[in-house]
Amino acid sequence: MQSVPSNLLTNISGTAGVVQISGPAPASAALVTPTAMASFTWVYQATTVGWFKFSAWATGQDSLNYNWINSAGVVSNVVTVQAPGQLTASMAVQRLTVSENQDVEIHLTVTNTGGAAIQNIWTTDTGTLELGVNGSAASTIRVAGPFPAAPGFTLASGASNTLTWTYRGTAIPGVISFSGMAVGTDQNTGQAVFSNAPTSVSVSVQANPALMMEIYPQPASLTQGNVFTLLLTVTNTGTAGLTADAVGVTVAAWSRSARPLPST
Amino acid sequence: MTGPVPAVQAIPGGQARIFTYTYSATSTGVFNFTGGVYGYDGNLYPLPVSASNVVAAANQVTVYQNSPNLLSPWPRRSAAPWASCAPSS
Repeated sequence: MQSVPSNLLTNISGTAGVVQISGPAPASAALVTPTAMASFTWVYQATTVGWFKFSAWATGQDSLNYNWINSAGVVSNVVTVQAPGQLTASMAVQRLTVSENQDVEIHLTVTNTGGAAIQNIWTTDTGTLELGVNGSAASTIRVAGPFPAAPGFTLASGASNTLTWTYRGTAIPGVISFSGMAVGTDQNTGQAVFSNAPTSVSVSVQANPALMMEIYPQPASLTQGNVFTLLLTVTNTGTAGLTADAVGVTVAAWSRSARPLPST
Repeated sequence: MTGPVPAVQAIPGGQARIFTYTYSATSTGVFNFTGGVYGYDGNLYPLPVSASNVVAAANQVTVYQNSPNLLSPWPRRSAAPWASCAPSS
């Protein structure tokens, strides 16, 4: 028996928009043996998100008796059409001011705001572990990070990941800011996906606080039974602010040398 | 008697703040006072910093004995006895 398809019927159902680009290829095929098979290919382009599935069947004419024969219908698996993956990055710093040689944490949050999953995401544009450092970069060192130490992670649609770095400002006065970005691969298309490149607010590196204290009695001389006041003047000679929360006074020395005041 | 007032103060960089103690002088003498202050870095709490004063004449208090009340052992007279000895004019 020889069957020659003369017609290939397809039906598309679903919510996604699709446009036929080409097909079927080949347009027809002669099946010269009872177990012969032929494959036909269509190419469609998905135009809107959603889902769709194909159903198809073939008709052919028996080469001996010229009767028309219909194949059974077949239904494809369901295809989901997703929006492309999209990376959005934001950056935050733990503190706006640090003292000299103190650490500051920087948080880079990467979110997949698109539809398709994005894989193999790196959080710096150079593939190194460093963030971009602006300002007093020469005196700023990376102490730790990124944490979690998982370059090449995957983000599903709507998922986010926050990575943390710790940097230290070693020179004063200093003003530093940090920048970073993320790049990954769209799981559906294999295309590279780049995030925006946010820059943090500036971090001020200040001189460490230092204390100096002096005591001034008022009055400096008085007669027995009267009241006097000690003024403790505490000065912060550094640049960074401080909180003075414990002061104390004791008598350092005493001598019984005071004589009665002369009578007037 | 009282103090320190206030108990806690924030001190911005380059600035000074005053803590006050009030004492009552109950005995005489010359007193030198020493004090200490502890603080915490406002950028990285609780990184401690501290200082104490240098004992010097500037923080010295002298407490004198009250002036004595002088009382005469003789009775008071209406007229000074030496008035009559005054030379006549």
